[in-house]
Amino acid sequence: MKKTLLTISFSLVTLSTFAQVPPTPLDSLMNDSIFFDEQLTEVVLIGYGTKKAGAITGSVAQIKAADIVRTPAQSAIQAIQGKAAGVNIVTNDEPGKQPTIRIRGLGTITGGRDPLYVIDGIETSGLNGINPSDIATIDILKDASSLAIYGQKGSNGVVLITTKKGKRGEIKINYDGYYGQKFIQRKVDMADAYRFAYYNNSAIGDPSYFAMSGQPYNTNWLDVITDTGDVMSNTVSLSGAGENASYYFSASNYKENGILNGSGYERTNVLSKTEFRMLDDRFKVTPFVNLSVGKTIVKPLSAFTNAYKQSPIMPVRYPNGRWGQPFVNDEGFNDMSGIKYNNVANPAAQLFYHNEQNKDVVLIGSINTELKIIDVLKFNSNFGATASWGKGYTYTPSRELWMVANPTLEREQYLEQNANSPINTLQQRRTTSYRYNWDNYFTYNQTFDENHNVTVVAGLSRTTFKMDERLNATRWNVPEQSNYWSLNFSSYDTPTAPSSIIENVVETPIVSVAYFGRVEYDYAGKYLFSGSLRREGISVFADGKRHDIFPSVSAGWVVTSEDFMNDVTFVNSLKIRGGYGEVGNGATGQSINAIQFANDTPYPLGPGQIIYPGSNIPFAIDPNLTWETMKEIDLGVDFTVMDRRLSGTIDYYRRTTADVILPVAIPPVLSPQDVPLNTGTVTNNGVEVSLKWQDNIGENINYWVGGNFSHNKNELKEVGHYLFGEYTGGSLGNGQITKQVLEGEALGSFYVFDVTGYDSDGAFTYSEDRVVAGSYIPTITYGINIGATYKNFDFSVDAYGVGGNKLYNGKKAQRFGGENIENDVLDGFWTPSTPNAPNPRPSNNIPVASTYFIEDGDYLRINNITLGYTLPELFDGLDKVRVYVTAVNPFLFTKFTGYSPEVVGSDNGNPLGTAGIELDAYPTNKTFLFGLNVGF
Amino acid sequence: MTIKTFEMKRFPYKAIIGLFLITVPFSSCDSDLDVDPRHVQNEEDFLNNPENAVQLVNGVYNKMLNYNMYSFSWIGMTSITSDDADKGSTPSDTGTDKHKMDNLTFDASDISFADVWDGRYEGIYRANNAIFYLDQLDIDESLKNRLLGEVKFLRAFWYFDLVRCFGGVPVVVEKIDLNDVEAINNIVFTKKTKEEVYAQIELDLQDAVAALPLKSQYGPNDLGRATKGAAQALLAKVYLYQQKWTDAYNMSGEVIASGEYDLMDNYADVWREIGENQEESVFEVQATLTKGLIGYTDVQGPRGTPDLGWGFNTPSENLVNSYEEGDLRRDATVMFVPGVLWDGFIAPSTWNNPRYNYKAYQSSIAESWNGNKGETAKNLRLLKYSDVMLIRAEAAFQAGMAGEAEDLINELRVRAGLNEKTGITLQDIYNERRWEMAMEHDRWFDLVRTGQAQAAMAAAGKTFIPGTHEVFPIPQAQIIASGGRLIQNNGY
Repeated sequence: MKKTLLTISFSLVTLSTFAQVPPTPLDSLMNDSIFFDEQLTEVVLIGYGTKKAGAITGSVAQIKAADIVRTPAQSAIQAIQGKAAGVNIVTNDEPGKQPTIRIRGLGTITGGRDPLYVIDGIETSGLNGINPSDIATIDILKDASSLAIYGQKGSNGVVLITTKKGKRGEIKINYDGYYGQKFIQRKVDMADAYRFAYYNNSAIGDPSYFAMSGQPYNTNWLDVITDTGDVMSNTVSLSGAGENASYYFSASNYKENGILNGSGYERTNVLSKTEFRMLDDRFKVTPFVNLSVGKTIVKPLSAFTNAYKQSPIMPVRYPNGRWGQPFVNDEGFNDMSGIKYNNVANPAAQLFYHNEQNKDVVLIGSINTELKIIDVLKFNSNFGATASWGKGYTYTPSRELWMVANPTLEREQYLEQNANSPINTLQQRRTTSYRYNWDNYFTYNQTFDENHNVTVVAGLSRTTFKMDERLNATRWNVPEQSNYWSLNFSSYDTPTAPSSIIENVVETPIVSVAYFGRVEYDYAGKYLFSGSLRREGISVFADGKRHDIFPSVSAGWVVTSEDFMNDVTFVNSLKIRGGYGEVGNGATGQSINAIQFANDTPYPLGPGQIIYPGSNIPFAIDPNLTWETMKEIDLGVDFTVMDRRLSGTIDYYRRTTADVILPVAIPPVLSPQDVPLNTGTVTNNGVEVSLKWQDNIGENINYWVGGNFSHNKNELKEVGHYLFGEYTGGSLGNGQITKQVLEGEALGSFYVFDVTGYDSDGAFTYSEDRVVAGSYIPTITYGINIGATYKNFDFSVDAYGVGGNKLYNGKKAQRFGGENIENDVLDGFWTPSTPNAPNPRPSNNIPVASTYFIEDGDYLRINNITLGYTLPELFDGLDKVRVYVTAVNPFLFTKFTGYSPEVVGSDNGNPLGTAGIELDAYPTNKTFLFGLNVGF
Repeated sequence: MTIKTFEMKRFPYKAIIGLFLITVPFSSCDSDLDVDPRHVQNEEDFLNNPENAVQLVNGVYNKMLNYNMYSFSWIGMTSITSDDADKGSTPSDTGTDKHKMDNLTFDASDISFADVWDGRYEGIYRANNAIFYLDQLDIDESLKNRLLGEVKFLRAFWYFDLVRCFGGVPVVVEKIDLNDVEAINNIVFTKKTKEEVYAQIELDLQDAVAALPLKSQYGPNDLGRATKGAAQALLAKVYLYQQKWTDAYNMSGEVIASGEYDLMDNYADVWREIGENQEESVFEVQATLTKGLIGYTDVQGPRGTPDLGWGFNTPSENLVNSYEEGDLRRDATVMFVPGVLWDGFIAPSTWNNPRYNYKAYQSSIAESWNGNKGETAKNLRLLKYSDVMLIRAEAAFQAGMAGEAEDLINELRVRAGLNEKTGITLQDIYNERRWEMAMEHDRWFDLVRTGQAQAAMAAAGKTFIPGTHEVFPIPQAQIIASGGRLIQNNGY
């Protein structure tokens, strides 16, 4: 059976005009029942249509199911890290969270940094709970000539996801399952009790503030708050097709316990996709629906920072059972009756008392209809929608937290000392969210005189999104047991200010309406041309500023289709292509650009201090605000040579984003909050190379070696707006800022003081002015994929690396005083006799943001090592049994000294947030797992 | 090329085509882009409702509750700098830059200056907007006048804070369009002189005095709004800072003559909940549970076990020792640890500092309290009747009416449990002001305004640099935002 599959896949390579990246044996091995129906030529998705891979004139990367499921992950985006050139993915291993994806650099700072996702015609902002095993292909549109047809939604790239569908024949049943264990990839070596005392005594200037010997506790806080995590996934799918219908149905469950104690995520999915064909296949209706029910148990990530900072001399609990606190007595020992020596929470108690849970139901669905009116003309109407409902609660046991902070006081004293205070509070949250898109278009396709092939697409698209609402309510004093955590159980009925107890916000939706058209022409498969136009309007801008037209042109020359190439046998296929396009970005961070009166500034008046409503205008607006426009030229070559053993793609692009919308901090008397302004021009220029060698040795060994490399240079070319002053970011929460937006530099560049040496006390001296210290955005990303099959064995290794980026060791820089330090800080610090030591004298001053905390962020990580074995056919009807073991992220090579060189940062990787700053970050995991795949 | 037709009998083919074509015009049109806002009100709808006039002004008052108004940064700049208070807290906790405030080693990049500057100008932004829209709202003229008076009073208060802290600053008294480059350059990015700032403050306050009713003329539910007395008291203070003795004397006299205010019997009650909005109160920030003053009591609350706060801004030994024997104000201002507090709360030796600011103490057992230390119900007293008396006394003395000054000072001394004094000197008036107003954020400004700063700082072991430390540095971020048009203060 397996052998036949391999044959199919290789014959497929031969059959297609040529594939951009030929499939590997694994593609067939892992997707036999579903994938290759009616698709003997490789088809790539483009906006509102498909195209043969060989006829593509833009830059599109396609990733197939085998590459997606090979790295078992909650999110398919995580799984494709390192598999497409120009696609930079930053892992986020926090249970239930999504990684950050950036395609061809970063063009802007505000809301719209993420690509558009289109799942079977449904436009969404993310994967929305799609199970990776249900995905057949992911097509990533990268260059502006491919993206222009998506208008304002496409400026950060478009990720097109196609789910699997049934293949003609009997019902196929497929089972996929794996179980694995998760570990912190690397730990930071912290000082022990002795070294902690030594360092902090030096900082305070009192040699006996902390006792240097005889400390009864030596707590390793990271070990206290973490444990081995585990992950389990089970998917069963059912698929097939008859004469008039095909169907694919799948149900799956994914469950993960995070390495941070108590954190977890569970998702259950049901997916159904059915295609009905009528009228001799002229009329097709494809209803698709995916229901995903997710549950997240949230634990605060600040526990990691607290574990890093909390002193080893503090116990988790005192012998009498009370939680440890940073109190030191006159003898210098941690003692619950001493005085407080730092402001860091007990991370174990923090996790223990943090009760937060979120449940989300996400329903995405679409109805795609296609009607072939006449043979050359068809009409498509696609309606796609995403509805989600969320509910969550946070239970805060105020009395217990007070007891944690005051270990010498008794439970009964809480209300004595805190009259009218809550014993606990319960917050209940409800959210609803809805968005839809409706696309209608005609496609005309005709070939004239055998060689002139013309395709015309024309249509319109309407989107409404951000139809969101939330309702939060809080009450006091519910029973302790979680089964009674509903607001009606509150035993505290004194009325309090409504605004802080119940919050209900209905968001303003954003509407966009677009008309689009595209003409494609090819002559005998030799000369390819494509041109598109999209006129789009969006409700966020003021009337008169809301419409724009986004054009694109691209062309390709298939050199190998020329007669003169007939004798060149070395080259199997060669295509040269180039394109230009313009794409908009209308994400300003606001739903409308109009003066807005907010009702959130009430004031108490009168003898009873009743809270009266108050209004204000939170920020000023620039009525001239309009589209960001991204313009890009892309030149590329696709080739296969040497009997199709070597294939590759090379792209060069120059991308300019003009009128970049930045939230500019302007003098507070003009606007207290940042104002979105068309501010400047950002460029991203780069090169992408993908190569793949595939061959066999003898009859039994097939192998392939693939790699991709991309280089991107990001730069804020110029600042156009007069009010653009000092635009800083990267706050460490202690008054220190680490980033600034600077003309001539990459977005999110670190801008800190340069350490110039030591003063006579062993404190750092700094440069007069701040210096640019690199950006967290890598200039180089690369992926390596190696694999082989030998008889029934398959083996593969994937690696991913980045280079040229800097990271800020923020947790190390967030010192206030009395915290723990990294062990190596004590291996060499300044003393009068060691004036050249790498670290300054111990100090409790807040560290100035400086180059001392900047580290190289380059890394190379082995993402995946998999060894699989496909059992010989056991009995009739059993198509396939494959077992495999996989190590995810087993090895990491980096100079960075923190937990993980991949730091997503706050606010979904906001370049001026904590992206690239390791602070409250979830460490990357390594996972070892075992899996089973059975097909009937 | 032939177009293949096919059987239509089996299926309502035409109907399907028709259905498709009908959907197209429905799916989109450009007028769909006019979306009504849902999460906020737009300008038109807001202006249609006259009731919004009062809400708009309430929104200006609301600014006073924010963290960057009277919290940590303000406390650091106005109190920790002075000889009344030390940084407090524990040696290892600097409070970001509060050790630098304490030692007078601060610079333009310190967060405290940015906070205090931003807070005031954010308030002025709200005030300018309120004035702009009040003009457009169709409401009763007398109500409109009153509301304008309230807003101008608040704006004047914030410019007064700015001129005291930073000297000459930009004076913006209108709503400015973001595209009006010229106005931004000339108004927002250009410092006015100290005198010009004071002139604007006087203008606003004179309008407020004319427009505002007396405390007793307001309806009961308006208690807490700016009154004529408040505007007069602030104007008197503004005159005093400019050494306009006669004006200060007359204006403070108006407040006294109004009969609206008096001293409370017990000095210690002034800052407790029972003293809120009482006869001694001329103007205070209104705070209540769930809409409270952010960070004020928390920053200064006792540190340790039980944990009531961060323990900053502790009364200095210098202040404690300055009081005369028997002055009741000492123990009403300084909380001594250990001991028993006025509400019966035990102040244990597990608290980390020997003294705390009693005026900032929020009782968790005898006053409004909901356990939220960061946002408490304590009203912050900004203008008190005793302050007005001290203004009058100092102005009278300077204007050659020492006898009247003596009477006023003695009234305060008697309440404080001290003997009356004769032959009062200017220094006596300064001392009286220090004790009466200790830890109330005026000490630093009083030292600077009366020329005592250098000597007083030296006595407290700090170095005051004349020609520089009279004002604080303009926040570095503002200088950069202005493209260098804002000139940094001398010596920074």
